[in-house]
Amino acid sequence: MKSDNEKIVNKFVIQTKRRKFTFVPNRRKSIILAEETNLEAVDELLREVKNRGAAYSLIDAGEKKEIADLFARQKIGTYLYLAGTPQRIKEWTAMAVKAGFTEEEMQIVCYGAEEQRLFCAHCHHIQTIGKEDAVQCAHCGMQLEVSSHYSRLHDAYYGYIQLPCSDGGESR
Amino acid sequence: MNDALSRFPFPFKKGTYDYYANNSIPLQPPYSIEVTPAYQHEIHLKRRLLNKAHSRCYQSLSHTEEAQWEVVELVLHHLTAAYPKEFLLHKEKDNWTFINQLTGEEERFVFGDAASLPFEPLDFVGRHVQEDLILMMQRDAELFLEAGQLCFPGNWSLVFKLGMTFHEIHEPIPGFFERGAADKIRTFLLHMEAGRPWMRNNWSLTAGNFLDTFPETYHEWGIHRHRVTVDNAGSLIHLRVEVQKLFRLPGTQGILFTIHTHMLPLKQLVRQREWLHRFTQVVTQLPDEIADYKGITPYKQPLFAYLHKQMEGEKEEKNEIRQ
Amino acid sequence: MIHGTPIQTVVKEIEQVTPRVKRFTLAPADGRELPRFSGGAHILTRVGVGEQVWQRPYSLCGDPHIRAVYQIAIRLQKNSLGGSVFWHHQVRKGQKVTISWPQNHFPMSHRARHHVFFAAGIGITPFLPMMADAEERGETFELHYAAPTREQCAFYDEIQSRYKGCCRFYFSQEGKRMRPDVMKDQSVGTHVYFCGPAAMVEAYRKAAISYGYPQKSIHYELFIPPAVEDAKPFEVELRHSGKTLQVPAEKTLLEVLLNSGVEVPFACRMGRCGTCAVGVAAGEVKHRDVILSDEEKKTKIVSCVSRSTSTKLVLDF
Ligand code: HEM
Ligand code: FES
Ligand SMILES: [Zn+2]
Repeated sequence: MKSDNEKIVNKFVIQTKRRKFTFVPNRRKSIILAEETNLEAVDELLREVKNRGAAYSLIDAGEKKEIADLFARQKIGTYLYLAGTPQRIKEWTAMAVKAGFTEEEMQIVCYGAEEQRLFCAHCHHIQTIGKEDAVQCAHCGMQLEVSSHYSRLHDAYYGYIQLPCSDGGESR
Repeated sequence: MNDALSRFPFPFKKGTYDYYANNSIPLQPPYSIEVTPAYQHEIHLKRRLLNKAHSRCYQSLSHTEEAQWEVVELVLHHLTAAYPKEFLLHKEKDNWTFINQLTGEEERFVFGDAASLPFEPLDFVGRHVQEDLILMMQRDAELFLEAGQLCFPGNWSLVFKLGMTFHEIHEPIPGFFERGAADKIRTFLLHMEAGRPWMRNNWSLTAGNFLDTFPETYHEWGIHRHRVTVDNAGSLIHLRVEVQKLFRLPGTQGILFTIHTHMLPLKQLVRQREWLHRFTQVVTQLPDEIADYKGITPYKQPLFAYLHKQMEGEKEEKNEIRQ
Repeated sequence: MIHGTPIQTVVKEIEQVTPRVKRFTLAPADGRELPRFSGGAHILTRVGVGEQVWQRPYSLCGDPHIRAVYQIAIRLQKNSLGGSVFWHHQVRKGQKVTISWPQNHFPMSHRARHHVFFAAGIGITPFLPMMADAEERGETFELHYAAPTREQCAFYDEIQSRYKGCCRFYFSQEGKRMRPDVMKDQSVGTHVYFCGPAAMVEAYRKAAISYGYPQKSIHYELFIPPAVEDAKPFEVELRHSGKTLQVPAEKTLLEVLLNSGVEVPFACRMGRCGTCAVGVAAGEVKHRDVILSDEEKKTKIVSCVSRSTSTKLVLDF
């Protein structure tokens, strides 16, 4: 039996479409965690938070350990706003979940690199790709059709085998 | 009807098929397994696949061991209750001896002690049944695919689906979410009770008589989809029916999902004229996106032509009789 | 061997736990092992004589590892016409009781960092095996338990001796009140569980939401009172087939539909999941489920719990 299932049970799909935060009122406290300063989404949120006089702390992307400790100290009612690149967001959400936060208790603005991972139906190799619809597997050479079928465990999209005799679309 | 035909679980009660309905019905008798005349052949095939490409056919996550033992308990009890001559189980406290007369095997193990088995519990018990066994765990009102032994997949990957929720598993199915089917079926599953098992049929078509249609080997079996002609459709195309059964495990709250796959070449199907009629109606009315999903599109033309010919042939026969 | 449905049992032991609470120990009639269960599970029991039959859900309160018997604890309800009076006054050792397999609609969270249980009165029962499960898995928990007095506090000694340090008792006649604000200062990742009268559960649920608990971290057990108490017979017409069926007072609409060969899918049979809902074309419905929206209530009936208040109900079948 392999990898701890906490990994998937508690890992969730990161919504990359959100560009702005929506302030959630009536929370004990808000923690705003930003990878960079002067992000528009964060500035806007800060204005709203200050206007309402809500309790908050703004944290720069500091040491991993410090953030993990901060998360672990929180009481029920703390709400997280996370802004960063996919890599950072993955780290932070993993730490947040470990501390006991759920999807309902955070918002994420994710920006930057538009790359994604693709899982080869034939050999299970995972490679990083851009926005192509079809690619060749770097490991086995099979022609793959990129699908929207996503696995959190593998953090990858599924690449269906494409047959040379067809124009794709019917491997399903 | 010959024997193979009479035991084939033909899925169409009428000439229409509601793809998005919860077509589950209470399972009677309440057994998770069925032994058919193909037992020896399929067990042999299963074990060959498991030996050749184990990770493709077997996956599990940690924390599933207790539920896997529950599956062992349930499946072995069903085997011995349904087929007492073929399967025997002796228990002395936790020391179990399982005898499979069909394979001539005797398995001794300590129930609950994984080290006393040559494989993980689910992998062990799956080698004695024709069914594929999928274990869904229920955690915080969500269902996750956390273990499975799958040798006869209908073109889906156990490795890739491992860890997925019910909704994530079904993501590739056209229209499944838009019509609210996914939510309704998940709610049904979340509330399923121990002691009240359910069954449903799922159907598809396969070009070629392959049980082991793995997506990993699609380039080998998928090419037959492009080789169908009016003349070979009857022997090449098979109606593939999966009899699926659902059991709530009372101790761990998991759900055992068993899949027994049956294949019937169209040339045998068309001999049952009522089946031919219903099948033709359902297949010709199938929405394009579902036909695409089931992989029928590449041979839709020759298939329809073949069915048309069979129906026509039937008319001619009738006319001849009338004349 | 695996049991069929339902399971036949006999009462093996009856203990007076408090002046109003009795614990019943049920053993399978055929001596085989009972199905496993997990903390929070309940069984549906069926007892009675002749026409008078009571069907009631009770939480299992015994040790989840014991497969020879199940235990339930029943409080004698003051103004009850039914079940608890029969259990307390009529049921003797050796009495036959029909039960369902254990069902768990009140399972413990797998991702909780800490569990906080709130029990009012006989609402303590599901928490007994839940605490045993938590202890075995090495998970932290605390129990808050309210009762009028120590004498009326069922299982007080057992709980004190086994889980000392994890539980607090509130005896109202000593002026101690259990209050929801215990939930306020818990760490993130805490899950809360309530079992007690409907008003208590509702108050705690609302409080938990106001403190910022996510929906999925709030758990409660609410048994819908059985419909049989005030049930009247009615007639159903199936619109498309024109068939007419009679629903007697002691049967549910779902049972009658299934018996007559109408394949209605169902799951919980407690009005929780909505699987058994069917369309209503005409007739008045008294809704007893907890799933349909107000909009849906206009056109649907949850056939496992709800009944018609008119003499005839026309269904979309
Ligand atoms: C809980 C156990 C279940 C598991 C593990 C499961 C798994 C799967 C998988 C792996 C597929 C193939 C998806 C793909 O092509 O990638 C599938 C397809 C499907 N499933 Fe399920 N399923 C379950 C229960 C159900 C139930 C209860 C229903 C309906 C009542 C259902 C309806 C369907 C349908 C309609 C398809 C499409 C099949 C086709 O057209 O060939 N599933 N399921
Ligand atoms: S079966 Fe769940 S609401 Fe009726
Ligand atoms: Zn590859």
